[in-house]
Amino acid sequence: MSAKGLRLLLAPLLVLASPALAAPEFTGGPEFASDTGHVLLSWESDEPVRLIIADNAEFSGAKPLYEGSQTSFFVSGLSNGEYYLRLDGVQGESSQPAKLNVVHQSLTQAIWLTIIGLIITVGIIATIARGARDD
Amino acid sequence: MTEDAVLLVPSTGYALLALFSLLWIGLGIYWGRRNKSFEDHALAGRNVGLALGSATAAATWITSNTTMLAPQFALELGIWGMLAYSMAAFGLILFAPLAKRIRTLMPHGYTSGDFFRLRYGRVAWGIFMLFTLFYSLTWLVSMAMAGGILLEALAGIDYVWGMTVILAVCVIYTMRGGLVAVIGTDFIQTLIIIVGIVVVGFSVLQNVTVDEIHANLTASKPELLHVLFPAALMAIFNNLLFGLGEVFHNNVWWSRAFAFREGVGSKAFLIGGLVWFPIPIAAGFIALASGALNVAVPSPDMVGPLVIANVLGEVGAVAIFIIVFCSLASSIDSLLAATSDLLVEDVYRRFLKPAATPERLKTVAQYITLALGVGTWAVCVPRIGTLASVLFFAGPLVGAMIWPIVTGLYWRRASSVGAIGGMLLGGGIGLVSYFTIGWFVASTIGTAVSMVWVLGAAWLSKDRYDWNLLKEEA
Repeated sequence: MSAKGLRLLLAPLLVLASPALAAPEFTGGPEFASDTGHVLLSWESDEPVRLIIADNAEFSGAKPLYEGSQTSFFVSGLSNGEYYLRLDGVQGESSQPAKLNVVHQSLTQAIWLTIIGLIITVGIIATIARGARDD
Repeated sequence: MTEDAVLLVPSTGYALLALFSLLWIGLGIYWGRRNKSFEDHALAGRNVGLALGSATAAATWITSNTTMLAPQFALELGIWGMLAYSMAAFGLILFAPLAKRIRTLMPHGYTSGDFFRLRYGRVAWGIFMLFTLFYSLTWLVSMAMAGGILLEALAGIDYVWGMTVILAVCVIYTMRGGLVAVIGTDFIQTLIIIVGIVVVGFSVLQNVTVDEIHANLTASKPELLHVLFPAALMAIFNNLLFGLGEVFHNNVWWSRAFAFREGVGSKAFLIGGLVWFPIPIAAGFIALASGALNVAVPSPDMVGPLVIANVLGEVGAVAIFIIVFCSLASSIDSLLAATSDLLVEDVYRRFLKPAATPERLKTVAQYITLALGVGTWAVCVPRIGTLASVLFFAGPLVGAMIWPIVTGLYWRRASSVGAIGGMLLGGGIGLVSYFTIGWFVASTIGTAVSMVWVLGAAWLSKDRYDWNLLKEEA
């Protein structure tokens, strides 16, 4: 008998003998918020997981972000919007979906502070370039 | 930091640690053998040439943050974040003309504290000392902690052992060799870091094209390419001003301005800044390639080492270990030397023992270096993670010192009222904005408030400072 055949024959016994694995679970969830488009996701799991992300709660068109045995993953570069995340264990158990709400900082505030920063910098350069005229 | 992200076997890590520790200590003792007086020890005899000067400017500014935090900035804030980090180069570039002016106005000066005391009086000097010691000591603690954490993450070396060895090595060669040893080791460390970063950058490009990186970012991290990414936009000038404040005020840089040979300072800082500018961009680019290379990032501060190890395997892991060790040593030694000199010159000699001999001052500087090392070690042992982030509180404090320094060096009408108010108001309001808005605005707001106050006070001032007062003899 081939190894594959043996595995198929013993599979029901192995399932019965294995302790039940708990479903993976996000740490600090299920709701996350970010004003910078990035978030560090971490979770607890007894087995390797697949982390998926979608823009709808039904996870249609979901994209895989990570697959493996790590217990954290850094997501960045997300635009404004609501995102849904889920951990799928390799044996089929899935976590409760987590929701990530991304609302970036105010662009108006950012532009104003950039202009202020530019004015200060130009002022410093001008002061140094002009030098000590009243020596 | 993810602690299970070990990239090297511990035996290789310990061997590299031992090799470089022996190298730096040996060189420190060799270079420091001619130091006799405090001036030799603290300012390398005021005779540092252009090559060593440029290298020490670049190396000191390449901290473990440059090699580890710059990739994190790119991963969090995208292209703008990468450029924002490199904006700190303007700290060195704009300090170039200041260094020339400082050398001209203060031919016998030792520290940035001398400038504040002579230019603005004791109250302004006191505030400056408070701000600069907070910044320097938190920087020192954050570097030592980063050293322990990184060596543990990279090679599985126990945190306390790694942190202790890095600190002890830097303390020993700085004590024995003074600024000569610091600058000499900086020269070698700069070469190692630059070669390492260039090799890594090209290796990444051998594995993935720019088009592939762009396509991956567009599909999975679109905001990183967005021109109007709010937090990243705010970070650009905030980082530039943080860097300017760090360089303009700190004795690490002033001691070099005093130590460089006549006419060398302006060129050395300009070259140092230009050499430094592309390094965060190269380091950040590595992080942007992580998605296209399918490198899963468990925590943002590990993105650089993980990508390098992924691309170069064990050779890459050895390279990042050496780069990180050199980056840490080049900053910790400079901080130890400059902070020790500040305390010797501004506190011990000016307040406690004005008649101390040059030999005595050198001995005191060595003991203070040792005390700083032991104190830093004691603070770092408990590994309180939040301590390292305290360094970022210093952003508005150092930003608030930019205008008092620039106007104090160039304008006779810059006044003590302006300097004191600028530092207190800028630092205070900047700190409030740090907690109410975020780190990415604190330096900008602190500097802006300080600027308005300093310029207003100068405009109203009837004082006309006599530059000759800065030419105080030792």
